[in-house]
Amino acid sequence: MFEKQALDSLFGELGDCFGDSPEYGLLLRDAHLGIALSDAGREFCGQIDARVVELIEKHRVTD
Amino acid sequence: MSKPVHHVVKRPGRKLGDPDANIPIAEDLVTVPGSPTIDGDVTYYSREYPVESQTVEKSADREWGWSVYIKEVYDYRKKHDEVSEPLIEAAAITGEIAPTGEIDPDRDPTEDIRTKARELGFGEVGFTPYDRRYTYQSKKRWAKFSHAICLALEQDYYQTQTIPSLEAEFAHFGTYEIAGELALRLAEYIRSLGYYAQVHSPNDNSGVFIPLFVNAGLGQLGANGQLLSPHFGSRARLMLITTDAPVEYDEPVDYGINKFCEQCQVCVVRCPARALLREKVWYRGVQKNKLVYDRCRPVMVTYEGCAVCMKVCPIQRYGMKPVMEHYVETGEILGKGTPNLEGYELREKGYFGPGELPHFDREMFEFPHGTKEEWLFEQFKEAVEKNGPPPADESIEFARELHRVVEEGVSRTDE
Repeated sequence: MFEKQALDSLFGELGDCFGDSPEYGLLLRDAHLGIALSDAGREFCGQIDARVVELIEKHRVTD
Repeated sequence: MSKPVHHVVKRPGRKLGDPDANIPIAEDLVTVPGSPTIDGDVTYYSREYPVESQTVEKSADREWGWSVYIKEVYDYRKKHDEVSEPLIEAAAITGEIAPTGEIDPDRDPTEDIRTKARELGFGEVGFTPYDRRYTYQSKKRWAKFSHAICLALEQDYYQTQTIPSLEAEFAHFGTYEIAGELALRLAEYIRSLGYYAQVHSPNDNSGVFIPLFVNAGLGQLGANGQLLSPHFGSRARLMLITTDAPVEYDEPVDYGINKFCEQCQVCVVRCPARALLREKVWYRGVQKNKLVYDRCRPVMVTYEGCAVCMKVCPIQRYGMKPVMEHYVETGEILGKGTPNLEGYELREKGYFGPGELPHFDREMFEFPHGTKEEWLFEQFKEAVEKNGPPPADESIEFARELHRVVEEGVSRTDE
C-alpha cells in the first residue's frame, strides 16, 4: 500500500515532470486512480497513462 | 467477490465530445431513482416550516465567521464578495428581461439549451419541474417560471485534492464566480430563443438546489450531504436557471449511491469535526444523512472551508464509473482505508492518516447561534439572569445594538 512518504514522492515527481503540461490535470487523475487500483491489487487494464504507470511502479514499495 | 449487475447507467462524457460513460450498478446497491421521499411530508414541511437561507437563519455565525478566518482567507473572501456583487445584481433582474428572439413553434428548445450549456462549460445539465417547496421563504416572491435548468460546473481537480487549503478555496469560490458569469450568457441565449430566463445566482442562492439536481437525474445525495454526480462526485458547484421555455424533463436515476454510502462511510469516519452521522434519518420527507451543523461549522470556518468530506469521497476522487466497476468486480470500496484517499493535513495540526483524527478543545465549538437578533437577545438574557436588571446605560447600549442589527437587515433577498 502507498503510505504518505511514497505518495509525497510520487506526486512530487509527477509535478516536477508534468506540472507545466496542459495534460497535468488528467495525469493527476490517472495517478490517484492508478494508486487506488494498485493499493487494491488490481491490474490497470490500459486505463492509466503509461507515464503514470511508470511512476507508480517506481514508487511502489513492495513488502 | 463479484456482484451481479442490476442495470447500467449511460451518461454523457465529462466534457462535450467525450465518449459516453457506462456505469454498472450492482444489484445490492439498488434502491430507488433519486432519493427515498414521502411527497406529502415534503409538502407539509415546506408549508409549515419553509426552508430558509443560512444567510438569514444563521446570520449570527455568518458574521462570527469573519472573525475566525485566517487573514489570507479573510482577504480572499472580501475580494470574492466584490467580484460577486455585480454578478448577483445582474442575476437579480434577469427574470424581468424580455426575450429577444422569436419562438420557433416547431422546435423543442431542450437540446439547444443543453448543448449551449455544455459548450459554455457546464459539466452536468438537466431539466426538471421547478419545485417551489425547496425555495427559500425569503425568495418565494422573487422566483419565477415553472421549469428548472440544473447546471453543475466542475471545480479544479488538483486544487480540490489540496483540501483543506487556501488553494482549494480559490477553486471553491472561483468556480462560483465563473458559473455566475456563464449563467448570464446562457440566459441571454435562452432569451434569443424567445423565452424568459431567470438566473438564480450561485452567490446568492434562492433555495435548496440538490433535490432538483437529483430529480433531474444528475446524481444522488451522498452521506456527506453533497450531490454525487457521475464524473466529479461533489467536486462541482451548483446553480439554476428557471424559464418558461417548454423543456422536456429528465428523470431521476438510481446510481446506487443511497446504498453505496451506507457501505463506504469514508466521509463519516474521516470528518475532523465528527459532524457526519452514520445512520440515515427521515428529514422533511426525505431519507438522508444529516450533518451536525454545530460540529461542522466551527471547523469549516477555522480550517479554510474544511471540506474533508468532499476530498475523501471516492466518487469525487476517482469518478463514479471506476468506483462502481470496482464494487461490481470485488464488492469493495475503491480507496477505502488507504492513505491516498483518507489522509489529510490540517494547518498547525499536522497529517492525519486512516484511523487518525485531530483533537479540538470544547471552546472550539462555542459560537453564536441563530440570527444576529436572536443571539443578541440570548446574550442579554444571560446577563440579566446572572446580574439582575442591567443599569440604564447597558440597556441603552443593548437597544442601540439591536437597532443596528435590524437596520442592517439579514439578507439581500427580495431587495
